[in-house]
Amino acid sequence: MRNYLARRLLGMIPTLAVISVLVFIIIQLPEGDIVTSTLDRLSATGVDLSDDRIQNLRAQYNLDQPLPIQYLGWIGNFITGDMGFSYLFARPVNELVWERIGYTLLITVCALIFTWVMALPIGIYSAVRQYSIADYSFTTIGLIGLATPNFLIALVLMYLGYSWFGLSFGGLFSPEYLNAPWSWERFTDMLSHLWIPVVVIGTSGMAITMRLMRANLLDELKKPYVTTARAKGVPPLKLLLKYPVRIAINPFISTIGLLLPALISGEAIVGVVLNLPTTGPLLVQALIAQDMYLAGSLIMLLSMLTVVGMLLSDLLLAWVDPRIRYERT
Amino acid sequence: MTDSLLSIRGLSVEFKTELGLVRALSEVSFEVPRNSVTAVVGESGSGKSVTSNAILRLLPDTAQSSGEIELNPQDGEPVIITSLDERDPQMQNLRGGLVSMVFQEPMTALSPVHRIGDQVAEAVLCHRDVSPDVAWAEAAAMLEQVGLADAESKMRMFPFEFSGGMRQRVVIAMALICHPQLLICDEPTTALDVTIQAEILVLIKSLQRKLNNSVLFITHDLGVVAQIADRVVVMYNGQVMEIGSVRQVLKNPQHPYTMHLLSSMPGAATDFREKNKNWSDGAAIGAGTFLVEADAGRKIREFRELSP
Amino acid sequence: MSELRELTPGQLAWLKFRRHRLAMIAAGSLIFLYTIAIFCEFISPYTPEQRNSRAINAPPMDVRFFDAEGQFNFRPFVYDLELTINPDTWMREYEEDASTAYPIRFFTRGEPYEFWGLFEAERHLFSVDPNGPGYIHWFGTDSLGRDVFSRVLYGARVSLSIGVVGVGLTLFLGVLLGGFAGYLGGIFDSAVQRMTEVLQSIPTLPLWMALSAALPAAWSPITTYFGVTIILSLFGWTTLARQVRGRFLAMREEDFVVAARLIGANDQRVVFRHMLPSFSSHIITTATLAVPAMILGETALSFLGIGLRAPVVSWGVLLQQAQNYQVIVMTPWLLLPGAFIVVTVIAFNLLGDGLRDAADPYSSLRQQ
Repeated sequence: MRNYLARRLLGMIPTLAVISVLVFIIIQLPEGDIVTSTLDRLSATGVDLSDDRIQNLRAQYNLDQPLPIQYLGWIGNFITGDMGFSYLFARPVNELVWERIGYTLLITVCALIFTWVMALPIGIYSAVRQYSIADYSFTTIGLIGLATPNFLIALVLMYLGYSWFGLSFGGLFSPEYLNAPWSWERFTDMLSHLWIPVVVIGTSGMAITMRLMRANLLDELKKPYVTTARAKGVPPLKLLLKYPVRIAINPFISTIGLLLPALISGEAIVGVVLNLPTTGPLLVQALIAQDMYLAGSLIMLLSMLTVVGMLLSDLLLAWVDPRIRYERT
Repeated sequence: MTDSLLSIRGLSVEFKTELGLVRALSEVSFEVPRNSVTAVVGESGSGKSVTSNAILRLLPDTAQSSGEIELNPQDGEPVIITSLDERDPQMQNLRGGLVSMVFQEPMTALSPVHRIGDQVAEAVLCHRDVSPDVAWAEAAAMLEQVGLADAESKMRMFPFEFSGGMRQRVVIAMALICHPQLLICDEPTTALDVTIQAEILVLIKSLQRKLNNSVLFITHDLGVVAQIADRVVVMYNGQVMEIGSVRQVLKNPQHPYTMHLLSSMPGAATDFREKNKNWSDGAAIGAGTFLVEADAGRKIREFRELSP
Repeated sequence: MSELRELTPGQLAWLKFRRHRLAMIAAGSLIFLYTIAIFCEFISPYTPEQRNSRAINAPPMDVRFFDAEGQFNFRPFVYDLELTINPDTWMREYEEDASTAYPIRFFTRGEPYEFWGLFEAERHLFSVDPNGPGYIHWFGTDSLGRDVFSRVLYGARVSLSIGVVGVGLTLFLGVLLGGFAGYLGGIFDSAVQRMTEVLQSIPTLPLWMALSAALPAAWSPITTYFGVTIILSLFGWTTLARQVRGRFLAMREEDFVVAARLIGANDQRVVFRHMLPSFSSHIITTATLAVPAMILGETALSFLGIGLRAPVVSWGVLLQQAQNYQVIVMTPWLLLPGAFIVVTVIAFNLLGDGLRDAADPYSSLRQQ
């Protein structure tokens, strides 16, 4: 187990390295760089810098170096916790990111839990009562959920919320708590807003999870070990939960790895629609304004979140499924 | 009222398919006497496994059955199994308690994510009110009995660490741990190597003598029948063809199908065919026609499946 | 006894597919949607940029057969809209004016357009009398008075085609890389494998966003269209490549492939005559199921304003107008393009399910 953990941790390094190169390329993609865009804005306000100053600025950002050196400089800073400066907000990227990434993480994890808590029991029920009316209705609802873009669900929810209850959704805090310091009231206020993005983001994953659980369980129910357990005299409900469900659930632990990027993607766009204080809207603003240090750092961080999430899911899987534990140690 | 442990009377099973009802068993009747091994023999599709699954009510929901299965335990009231509800606690008690089962595929008959010991001990916990420690100890003793050396440490292992023969021993231990009066073995050696097959057969037979229970042994292999059975039930196409003692059926078959089955056996059968030259020709024709007809039926079914 | 006959695998698959009623319905709806997309210039009553200054933010108009007195009219018609300004909110409010009806006419002359960019035409499938004062906005209008129905049809062309073109590219990349990885093995295989792993662990949307935001704003609509398509397929190939590789590896060991080798078939023959046919159906299925992801991706990007941009009209671009809370509450009909997205994606999913069942040689006809 310890070997496995060590190997997996080491395996993350090349993955993250490749991702960082990709992100660096993305940062380089737009024409011009941070200095030229700064100069543009300065000259728009009537300030022209001398060539010396420009050279200084370029040197400050390592822009006079060849690209590989620039990359090393960037990633070195990143690792040591300096993510550069956002000219869009005129603040260090670190500050901007840290005040938001917590909410992203919170919403994503809640959405993941929501997805499972809703989808797994439904999937089990659908499999056990295959072709029942409930099975068909859940499948239909799941299909609609799968086909509706997250942001559309958010928009429709906003519309319904307004036209039925006169409520205005959006944001994570009521206005009076927006800038208030943390307190119990602020926390409960947040919870009362939190469920909307969680439900919206969780819905799309729910459909897939539901269908997978149903299919997995149907496969497992046909396996001989279920008959063995029945023949042994294990009571039906205990049998269902202890044997086929237990085994059918295992693959889901590994789908955290697939679900997580989808949830983070979903959060990015729902965050914009619902006006959440998360990384999603920040990323969109940064990209539209081509504030590439901010955008690049955000993508890098979101990818790191996913990679770590995948690692955790693999460890969890190895913990619950002895077959994997033994194969890989 | 007979003194048999198990009586099957007029058991018919049909499966619902979109092509209508498909009859798997029709009017099957036979008895399983106490303290003996009864073999049910027949080719694939003859309804052997449906019969054995019907006894423990393990048939899928699409099956409709009629007829009666009566279990007459040594020291209790007779039970009509066919009248019990699936969720009846008496049914749970029966399964694995009075009647238990060994399956064909030892590779898949055990849950891959639970330890061997847990799976064997669970059978005890399902039927008797004992502490997990007691159940665990009993499981260890039983595993030793089925020939698993160093059972204590093996019980902490998972099925995928075992060979097929070892797993089948575990399944047998699991089936016998509550001292069932009837042990159903559904082709328990088919999936195993020949040498392991022989070991398992000897094991089942010796445990039967030792525990004094009855065994209902499902197989397609007449060699196995000769080796293990006291009585034989020959089945074909969902019907019982012939019932008799192993000696009578193998040496002096009455039904043309049994003769055909015997003459189709390689090796031992050549000799048999020589000896019974006088009737084997006629028998072959009789049973042969029988087979051709049945095959034609199957063909028709297959083609119906293809056309809308 | 039914007539005995042999069926080719293709016939068998078609037979199985026809039994899949939902998949048939889905296939029908997709054919319908794509037909509309192909002939959108003709079918839509207006051009996408045509503005109606008398109907700004007008709600959808009901097409009627019965007039206010309950009389049946064989020719459908719409009522005129009467505009009032709400004195409290200063919002435009429209009310149907039952005294003026505009009958719907077919093959009317209207705003001229270039059909497929090839030739000029001015006939539209339906509209109201072009010389009269009337207008018909079946799905309402937006804040510039543009006809939402016409824009949805024009949007269908872009959104639906981006799915197909994107999947074509994805297929090409996936089959090529996955096939080579499975066939060559070795370093190439591990390289593709690692690449796949890395790409799958990056949240796609942020990456798509970053790349399409980097597309120069000066690009022409058509270049942007292809740029976005390429970006979408650049990360979509991983799943397919994985599957193709897996199938290749598994199939190399399959008895029928080994048998083909043993009777002396060369590599090329084994790959093209034996291996590819046996998973081409699988590829088609995967491709069908990948189209919705493309459509949803385009929609999401355009919705955020970093995919396709006006004047290109796609369903995502149309929904971008509805981003604002106020807009949704005042003009909820701007969400209608969303319904088209949902229907299309559901249809592709059902079609894919049907194809999968039909193409599986081991699934029996019994499964409905």
